Amino acid sequence: MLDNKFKICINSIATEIPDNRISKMTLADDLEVADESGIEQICVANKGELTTEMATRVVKKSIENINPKSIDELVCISEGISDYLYMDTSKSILRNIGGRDDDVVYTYDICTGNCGTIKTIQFVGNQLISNKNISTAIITSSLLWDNHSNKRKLGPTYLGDAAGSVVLQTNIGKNEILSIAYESISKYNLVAGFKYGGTKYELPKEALENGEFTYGILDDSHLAGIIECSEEFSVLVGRKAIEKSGLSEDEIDYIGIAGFSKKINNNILSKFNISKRIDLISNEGFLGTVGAMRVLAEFINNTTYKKGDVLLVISNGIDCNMEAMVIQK
Amino acid sequence: MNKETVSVGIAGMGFYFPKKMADTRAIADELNMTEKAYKHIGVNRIFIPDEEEQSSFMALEASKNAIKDAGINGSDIDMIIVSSFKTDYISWQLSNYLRYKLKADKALTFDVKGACSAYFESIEIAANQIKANTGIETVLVVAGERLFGYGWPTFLSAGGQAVVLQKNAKDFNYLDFEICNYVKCHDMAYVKNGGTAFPFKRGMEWNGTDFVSNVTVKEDMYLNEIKPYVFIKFVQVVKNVLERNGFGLKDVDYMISLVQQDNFDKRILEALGRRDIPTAQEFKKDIGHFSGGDIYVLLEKAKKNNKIKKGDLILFIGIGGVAWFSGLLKF
Repeated sequence: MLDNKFKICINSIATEIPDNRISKMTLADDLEVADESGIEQICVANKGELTTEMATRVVKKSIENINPKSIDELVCISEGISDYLYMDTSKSILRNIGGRDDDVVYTYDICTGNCGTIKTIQFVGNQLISNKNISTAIITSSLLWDNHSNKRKLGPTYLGDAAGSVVLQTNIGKNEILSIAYESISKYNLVAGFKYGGTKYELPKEALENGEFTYGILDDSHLAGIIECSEEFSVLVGRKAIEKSGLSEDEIDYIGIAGFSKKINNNILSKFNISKRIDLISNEGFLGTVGAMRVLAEFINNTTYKKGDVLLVISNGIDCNMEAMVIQK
Repeated sequence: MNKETVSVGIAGMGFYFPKKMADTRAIADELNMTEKAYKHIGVNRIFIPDEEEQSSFMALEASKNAIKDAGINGSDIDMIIVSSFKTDYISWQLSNYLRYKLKADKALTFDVKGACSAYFESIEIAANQIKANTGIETVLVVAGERLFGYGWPTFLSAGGQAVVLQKNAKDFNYLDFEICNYVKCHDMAYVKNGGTAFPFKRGMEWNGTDFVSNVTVKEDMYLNEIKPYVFIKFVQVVKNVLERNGFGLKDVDYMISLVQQDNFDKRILEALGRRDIPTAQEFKKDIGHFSGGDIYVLLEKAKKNNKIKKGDLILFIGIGGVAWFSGLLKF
């Protein structure tokens, strides 16, 4: 992206964080484990909220100044479950916001794990560059865990509800993405997912009625590997992103992190000589694919951060992928 | 500013077919299908997976074959895109598993979810990545689907299909793609229970152990808003992609479509007004319908059986989820 005459930019971004909170005291069976995560409380949607409703609200917010008919692509990257099984969430959202519904318009439901927003920005960015039918693209995620998690616990962390929407265009002179970097410890690929509903275990009624259709850890040894390597690879990917941007660390004004543990976040941040930080996990919980959107939204929408400021954002999760991005406001 | 024109082609293709095949007559008899309905489908045999032949297994084997066919190593792959309706687990990236197994250490990975449409989408995404000229030159697109048996309107077959797309690959050059995305009717079929609208709970209605037995179909939507337009939309996506590239129907040398009913190709050609275009229909009856990856299984068969020659303009088309797709390949 650095050498290309097309500059991928974030036109606008919005996130929705429910007002309701649950404290770790309520959530945790083991407070020691809860303390390790550094999460004090998580955000929780209202009962009965639908995935597409929350996504629709946040997408509408992100396109306040954009005609929905001008949207050429909408990508949904949620690792959660949609309103219904095996239905295209992206199409539902596009229809709800009044987008084109019988035309050359691209809608994708993508699985990127619970850490994949930045690499999605990369592949959508390439489509903005090369696909003559795509000038405005949206990436969205909408996560509701009340009925699809084991009391919101995912290994060492706790899942918060949230939604986010990023609008991408090229060469608009603001929020320009300077670099993207990516690392993967794919030998630990079997870390998180829904055990039931795939080809291995299908959907047996007894398991479903017993509340086993939940997002959880698939293999504990893979989880252990992720926890062990997360810090090292997150620092590595952050350094790669800085190098690819052509800037020095001194020229980065802010560092933001979207991760699953406050302690690991702090360790990662301490390896960079960037004092001004954005880290929202304590009061929101682990937000998966929405986490990086939260950091970016804070940077782009909060006027505390000035035009010309540069942010390095690093993202990791209960996932074998780590990613980072440098962006200039 | 012009969007650039890097050439993208198929460097290799690979497939995995389960060891066991089944006669569809037996399946039809179990379902009390009429003779007329059975003959209308026109698929005699399908592939049935055993317990070992999970989605991940078939996708991996197909990928290995494609990489070998392309003459590359895993380390040459810049991106892996899995196209899937159902893999081993929900919300799990099969593409990460393949990255590890193939030693594709620099590959960026993601899975595109969906039915037949997902493979068409994945191929176009892959071509877009290479054409962007930002350093991605080799992309592996792969599906491993474990669906088998009767699935209206045809018989489904299990298997893996993998394609390596590469910058400047010579054999099959992708010229263009077209889509008509029928977003307004995408919810024609869905599974009511299990999502955030109706979470699973004790005493709920649930049939069998898989989604197929629990699909709700909006028949009125299909009959009134989709069925009347199926072949009209095929004509639309075909004509658009041809005209945009300076071709007419007279320039098409071969057509490949998904495995559907026996007269599917014939009806498309009638709608196009060119009944004489040769198609891959002859190869469909003994394989069944895998996914959007059918196109590449049939392309391979057409090539091996000398049904296509260098310089041919190949039209490929499909439908899924509800959207219509077309594309042009130059052999």
